[in-house]
Amino acid sequence: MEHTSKQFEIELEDLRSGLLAMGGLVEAQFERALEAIASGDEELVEVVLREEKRVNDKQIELDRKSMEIIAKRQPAAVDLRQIICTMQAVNDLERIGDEIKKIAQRARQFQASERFQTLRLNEVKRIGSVAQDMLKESLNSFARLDVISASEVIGRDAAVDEEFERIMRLLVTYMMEDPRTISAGLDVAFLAKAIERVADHAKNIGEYVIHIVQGKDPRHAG
Amino acid sequence: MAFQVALGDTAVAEVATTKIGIKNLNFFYGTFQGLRNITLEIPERQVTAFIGPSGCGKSTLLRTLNRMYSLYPGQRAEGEINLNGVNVLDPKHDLNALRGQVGMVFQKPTPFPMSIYDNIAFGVKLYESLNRSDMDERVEWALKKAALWTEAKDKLNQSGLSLSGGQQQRLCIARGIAVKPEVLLLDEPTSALDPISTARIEELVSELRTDYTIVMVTHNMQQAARVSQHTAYMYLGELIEFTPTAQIFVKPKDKRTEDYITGRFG
Repeated sequence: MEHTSKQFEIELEDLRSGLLAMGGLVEAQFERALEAIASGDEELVEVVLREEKRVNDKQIELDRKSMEIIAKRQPAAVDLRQIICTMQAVNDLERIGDEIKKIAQRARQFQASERFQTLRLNEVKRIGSVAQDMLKESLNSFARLDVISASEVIGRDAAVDEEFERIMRLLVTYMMEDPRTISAGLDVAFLAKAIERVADHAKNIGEYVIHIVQGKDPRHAG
Repeated sequence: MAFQVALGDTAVAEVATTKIGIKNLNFFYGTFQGLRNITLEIPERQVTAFIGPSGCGKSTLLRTLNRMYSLYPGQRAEGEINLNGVNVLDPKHDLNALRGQVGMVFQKPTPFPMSIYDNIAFGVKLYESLNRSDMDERVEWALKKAALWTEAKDKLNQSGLSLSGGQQQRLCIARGIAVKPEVLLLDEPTSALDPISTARIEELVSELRTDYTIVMVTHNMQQAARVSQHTAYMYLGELIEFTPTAQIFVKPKDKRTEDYITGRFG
């Protein structure tokens, strides 16, 4: 049912679409960063670093809007949960933005090194595309307030964690065999960690969807 | 029955006993049924708020608690309202004693056209015969409880009507508690007041709950959220939901409550 106050309805809708717009920006950034890792395209790295500011601006804008609605409307129940969870999701998206920035900066360093190229191109690409899917799905579930797809996102986080562990074991094996690979190995490890963090934040967004719809907080549940 | 109360994020468990047990209460204005089968347990020394749209029966329910309705012919209540386990709807129940146990404050301040002092002493005289100094003490006590003493102590002989709206309402609360009731009914006590007076009354309600069981009707949902421990949502004469306040404003049990408190009504 709609609010008696149309204006309130418009404000909430504006907040919702603002979050999705921010999500779209972050998704595009992630795509570019992963592409830069694979291709080593310096220009893409530049774009990612430049666009990062827009993500940060969105965070500030959406937090301000959320505070305004709280101050003006004293939202309750589902509206309150939606606004609080939107603020938290905005925070997660901004943190994803930070991880993406780290990924892009790594891409720059990789250009200088030929080591671990296959690992970078295959293993990292795989974990990257799972994280990408999770991010996309988490935003879709937020847009539709779809608990089922949100639960799926949450469930997939374990697979990303496992994949990350696997990459780490691989790297450790290489580095033990040949200490000259340690420097490049650490670069790949940090890269994989950044991607794994993106998946964690996507999982958080999935959890907010469940909190909004069902009113129960699924965080830290088992 | 024990009540679990979640207070804010600290989730303090508080246990209270039932002060007023309402059971299968039906109320009729002539042929119109104003309340339908209300069953509700109001906890002792807590603030219980009734919310709901106009005409939902919340004021009617409040008025049955001290049988205020019996002033009007054609209005009748069926069922049970057990105050300390005694059914006050029993026609043999002493109405005068009931009014002493259950005080009431109305939406608009209703001071009597007499001095501030007499406004308070008047009700006390109906129930107790106090000597002059005891009465002085009682008046001072009631005015202090109602947070009006500092403003009124130098003009106790002036008319109660000379006070501001917010002060008049606090005078009415002082008058209500002067007879030392067990339950205080507040029917939209701040809807005619400015925000500062409203805040003072709310503060007062929070303080009074250490000594009294308070039942309040309010149109201001934020007020219910601020001052009450339990909230009842009523609609079309029915009790839809009765839940700890901290819960009802975050995750109500009933969809109809959710629609009402989020402003998705009608």
